[in-house]
Amino acid sequence: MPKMLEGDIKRFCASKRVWIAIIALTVSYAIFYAVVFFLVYRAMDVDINDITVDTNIGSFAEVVSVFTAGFAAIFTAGDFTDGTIKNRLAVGNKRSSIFLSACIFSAIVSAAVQLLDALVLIIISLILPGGFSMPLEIFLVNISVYIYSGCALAVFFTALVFIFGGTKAAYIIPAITALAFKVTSTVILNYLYPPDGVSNLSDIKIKAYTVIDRFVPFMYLQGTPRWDGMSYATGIAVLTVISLAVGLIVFNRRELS
Amino acid sequence: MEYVLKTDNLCKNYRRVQVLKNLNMNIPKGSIYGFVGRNGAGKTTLIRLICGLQKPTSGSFDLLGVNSQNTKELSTARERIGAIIENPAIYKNMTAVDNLKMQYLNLGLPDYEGIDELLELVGLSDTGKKHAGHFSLGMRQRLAIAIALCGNPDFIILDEPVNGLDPEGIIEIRELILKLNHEKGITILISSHILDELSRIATHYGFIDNGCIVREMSAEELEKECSKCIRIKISDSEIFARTMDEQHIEYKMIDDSTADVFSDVTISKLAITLANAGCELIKAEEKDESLESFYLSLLGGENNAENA
Repeated sequence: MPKMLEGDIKRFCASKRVWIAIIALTVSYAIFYAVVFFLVYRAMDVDINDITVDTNIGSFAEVVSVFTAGFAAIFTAGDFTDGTIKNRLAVGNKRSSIFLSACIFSAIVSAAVQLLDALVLIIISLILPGGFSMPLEIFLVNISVYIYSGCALAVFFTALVFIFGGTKAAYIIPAITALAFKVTSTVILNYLYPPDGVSNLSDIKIKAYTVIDRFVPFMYLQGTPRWDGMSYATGIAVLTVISLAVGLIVFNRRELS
Repeated sequence: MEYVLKTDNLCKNYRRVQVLKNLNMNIPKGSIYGFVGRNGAGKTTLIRLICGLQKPTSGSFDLLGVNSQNTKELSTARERIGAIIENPAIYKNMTAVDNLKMQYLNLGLPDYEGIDELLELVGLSDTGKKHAGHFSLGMRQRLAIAIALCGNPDFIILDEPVNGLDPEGIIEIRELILKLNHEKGITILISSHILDELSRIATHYGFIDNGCIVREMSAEELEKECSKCIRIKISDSEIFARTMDEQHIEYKMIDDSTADVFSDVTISKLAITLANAGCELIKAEEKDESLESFYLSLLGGENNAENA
C-alpha cells in the first residue's frame, strides 16, 4: 500500500491542471472573500478596523469539502474510467490496499488544501486592518476541526466513487451528495440558529437537528466550531469508519469489467 | 509438462446467463497460446477471472502452480503476470516513463531499474516528455505491453493486442511477441480475432465457443488437421468416386464436379486412371486449409462444446 500511495501522489503531481486549479481556487477565493468583505463593509460605513478575517474561515472550509467531492470523483474515478485500476489488480494488489490507499490520498489532498487556505488567511490578516479577532490558539483549533472533518468527508466521497466506480454515477453521486449536504446544512442551521433567535420547530425536530449538527462532519464546516472536542471526534470517527467499512465491503465484492 | 494456467470446470454466470461453462484449459509453459473464439464466446470473461477483476461462480484454476482457492498465495502469483485486458490502460497525462514508474510502484518494486530497457524493447525509447494521451494507437498498445512487462513476468495475457492497428503496427507487435517468447521465455496468452496473424505466431491453440473449450491443440496438430489436398474438377463424379474407392484413395466430394483428394497422389497417374475409367480430369490445384476455414468448420453446427 505505501508504494501505491506514492503512486497516487506522483499521479497527482503529474496532473498539473488539478493542483493549479487547487491553488487558484484557494488563493482567489480567499482574496475575493477578503476584498468583497472590505468593499461591502466600506459601503455600509462599518469601521474597517472591525473587519477581521478569522470570523469567516468556516465559509472556505465548506467550499473545500465540495471541492473534495469533485476531486475524488474526477481523480479517483478516473482510475476506473481509464481502466488503470486493472493494472493494479492484475498484478496481485489486494482490493483493500487499493481502496485504503485512495482514501488516505484523498484525505491528504483535503488536508493540504485546508492548510493552504489557512495559510492564505493568515497572510491576508496581515494586510486587512482588523487582522485576527480570535486568539491564534483558537484559530488553530478551529482549523484542526476543519482539517479532520474534511479528511472524513474525503474518505466518504472516495468510498462513494469506489462503490460506483466505472459508471457515470461515480461522477454524479458525489457531486449530488455534496450539494445535498450543503442544502441540508443550510436548512438545519437556519432552524437551529435562526437570525431572530426564535425557533418554531418541535422538540423532536430540534433534538434530531441538534444530533445532526453535533455529529455529522459536514456541519462542522459550516461557520465556526460550536461543539466540544468529543463530539467532533465521535462524528469524524463514525463517518470515517462507516465509509471505510461500507466501501471495503462493496468494493471487495464488485465485479469489474 | 508444466503449465502456467490450468482451469478446472470453471464457470461464470452473470445473473441467469452462463458465460463460462465448465471450461477446462491448459496453457503449457513457454508457449504462445492463441485463444480463439467469436464475440461473446467468453474469452475476455476468462481473462478477467484470471486477473482478479471478477470471481468464478464455480470451479477453479491454477495460476503458476497456485490454486485460485488460495487467495493469499494467488495475490503473490499474480505479481508474476502481466496483462492487457481489452483496451490499453494507461495514464494519458503522463509520459511513457512515468506510466512504467506507476506500474513499478503498483508492483512494490524497490527502484526503477529496467525502465529504459523496457521502453527500448517496445520501441518507445524516444518518446521523451510526450504524454501518452498523444500517442498513436500502436504506441499505446506498445506502452501497454511495456506496462505488462514490468517486473519481469513469467506469463503475459494479451487481449486483442492488435485491434485497430495498421499492418505495420501488427507486424511490430508480432515481432515483439515472438521476441519476448523466444528470448525471455515468457509464456503468452493471446486472444485475437485475426486468425491469420495468430497462425504466424501461436504454438498452441484453444478454441472457445459458448463458454466452453471446443478444442485445444498444438500448432503441429493443427497443421496436420489443416491438411493439404488437391482440389480437382472432374467430368463424372460417379466414376470418380468408384475409382477412388477401388484405389483406396482418400477423397471428399465438394459438389457434382469437384472433389478434394487427400492422399499423396501423382496427378498424371491419377489422370490416366480416371481417363481409363471414363472420367476426365479437367483441373487440378493444390490447396491448404487455412486456420480460418478450420475454425469455421470446427465451430460450425449447434453443439460443438465439449461436455465436462
